[in-house]
Amino acid sequence: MDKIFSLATTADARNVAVIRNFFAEALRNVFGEEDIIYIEMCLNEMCENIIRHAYGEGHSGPISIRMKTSRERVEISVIDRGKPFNVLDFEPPDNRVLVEQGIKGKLGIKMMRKICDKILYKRLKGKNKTVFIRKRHSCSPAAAGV
Amino acid sequence: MSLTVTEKQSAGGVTILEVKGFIDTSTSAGLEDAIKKAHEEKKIRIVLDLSGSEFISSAGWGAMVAYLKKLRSTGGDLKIAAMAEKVEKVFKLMEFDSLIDAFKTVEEAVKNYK
Repeated sequence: MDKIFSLATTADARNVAVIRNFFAEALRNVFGEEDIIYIEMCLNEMCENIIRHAYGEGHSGPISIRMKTSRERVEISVIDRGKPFNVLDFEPPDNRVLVEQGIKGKLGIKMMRKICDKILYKRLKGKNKTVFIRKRHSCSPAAAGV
Repeated sequence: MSLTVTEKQSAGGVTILEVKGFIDTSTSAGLEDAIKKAHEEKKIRIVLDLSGSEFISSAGWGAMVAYLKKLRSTGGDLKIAAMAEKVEKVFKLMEFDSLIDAFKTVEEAVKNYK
C-alpha cells in the first residue's frame, strides 16, 4: 500500500538534518538500511542545492517535500520558490577530472544521479519542482519478516 | 551540527586529523581549513580519522578530493581511515575508492605510508 509523508519548512541549513531524519524515519519500516542511507544523502544534496543555488546566499524561502513510498519504490517531490534550478542541466565531471582540477563542487549532483533511477524537473508558476525516483534495492528486517 | 578536527602526530611524520561530527555544507570549511593548514605547515602525509563522523555530504567529500592533487604533487597524500558503514557505502557508491586509499584502522593507514 502506498504511503505519503510530507514536510514543509524554510530552506535553511539548520533545517537540513531535520528533513533528512524525518524522511529516514518514515522509510525505516519498509526500506533497508542501504536505501535509507542513499535517500537521506539525496535529500541532503537537494536541500543544500536549493539553499545555495535556487535561493542563493543571504536569501531563503519555503521548501516543501512530499515522499510517496510503495513496496517497490520511493518517489520524492521537492518544491521551492527560488530561481530556476535544474539538477539535470549539470553534467557531473569524472572523478579523475575532479582531482586533476581540484574541483570540490558538483559532487552532490553526481551523487543524486547515481542514487536515483529517474530524476524529473519542471518549472511551474515561479516554482522549481524536482522529482526523484528510486526503486527499492533493500528491505527492512521487519518487512523481510526477520 | 558541529564539527571538530583535532590534529595529532604519529611516528614517521604522519599527521592524523581526527574528525568528529557531521560534515556537510555548513561544516565542511572546518575540514578544508584543517587540511589546508597541515599542507601549509608541510605536513603533507595525512590520515583522516573518520571514526567520529556518521555523515559526510558531497561538500565534505569535495573538501578531501580538492586537496589530493596539491598534496600528491609535493610528495604527500591523504588517506582515510575508520569510516562508519554508512559513510563507506557512499564512498564506494561515488567510486572514491579509485581515488583515495581507505583503511579499516588509523594504524593501518599510517603504516601504509612507510
